[in-house]
Amino acid sequence: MSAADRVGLGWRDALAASTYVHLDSIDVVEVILDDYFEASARQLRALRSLGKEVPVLGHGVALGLASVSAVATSRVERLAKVVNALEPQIWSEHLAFVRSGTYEIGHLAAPPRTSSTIEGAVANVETVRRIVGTLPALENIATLIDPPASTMSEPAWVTHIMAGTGSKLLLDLHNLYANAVNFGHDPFEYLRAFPLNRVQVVHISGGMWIELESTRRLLDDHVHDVPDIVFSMLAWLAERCPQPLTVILERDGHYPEFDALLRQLRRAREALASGRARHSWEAHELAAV
Amino acid sequence: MSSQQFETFLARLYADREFRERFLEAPRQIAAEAGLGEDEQRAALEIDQPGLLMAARSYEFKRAGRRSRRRLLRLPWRGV
Repeated sequence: MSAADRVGLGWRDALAASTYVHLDSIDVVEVILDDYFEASARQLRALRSLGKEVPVLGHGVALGLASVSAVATSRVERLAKVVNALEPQIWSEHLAFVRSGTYEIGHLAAPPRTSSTIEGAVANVETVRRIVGTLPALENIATLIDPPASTMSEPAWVTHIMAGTGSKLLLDLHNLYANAVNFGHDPFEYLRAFPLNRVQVVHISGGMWIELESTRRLLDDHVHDVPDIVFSMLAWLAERCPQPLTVILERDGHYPEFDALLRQLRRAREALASGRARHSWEAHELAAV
Repeated sequence: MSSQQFETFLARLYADREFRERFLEAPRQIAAEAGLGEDEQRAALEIDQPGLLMAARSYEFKRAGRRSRRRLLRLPWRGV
């Protein structure tokens, strides 16, 4: 892996003590910003002190930026308060809609991939930039349903939003893998179609296969180990992306022994190193020709 | 295409079980009653139904804020 690549873990209360103890093996942690919306000034100060121990990223989960509806400024202001208290090196949000009208979906949903939702996302990201003061990196989401009324592919839709916002991409490899296998694409060809020059942060996680009425799909659930193919995709990515990558392992429950999480972090480092080595070897070979 | 009305229609399909069941019983009627445009009605009729059911139950599970594997497996799909 390159000197500037980093590998870290999502900050979770259940893992906090072990995370602290193993900071020699963890380059960076990612904090869920929404978890601190109701935090007191004292709690926010404690959160900020975490940043003195280890580099911190912030991650928002419920703004619903990829929507034809304007994001509520009150929500953005709440998030801005936490971002300003935490001062993360990078913060991010999802390319998803989470509510519309009076209906709260309760999680990240893929909107129709159309020019309208591209325009909506670009306008919403600009609102967020104005209020928070910095641009978020934007994350691709997993979906179990092929978003109805879409007029373009997911990679094309993401590419247009990246171009319109100027944001970096938080590339979630398990989300990408799930969408590829759920909707009939080769995962590596699907990955190749994303705007890889915009990738700044990478998420890795796991999921489970589910079946309903003979339809089988991969659910991204963050409660299973990272599958081998995601590490292969990470190596593939590291081979093709010269820019530094920050890789975050997301685990949201059914926590294994902490050693098992550390093993997955080591595998991520190995994948980065193998991709970087292949890149260097190919560059060397080309120079020799 | 992709109006706010269509997004609200989707959000309701994902979040409101009774509305979703009525839609699956009579998709043409419910899409028309929702005031969707012609293209949006067509998109609603062509919806990925297994995906809709899986996604809706997944969102329901998230709203309930529970993440145990046992509860995941109790959803109407089968873990494989």
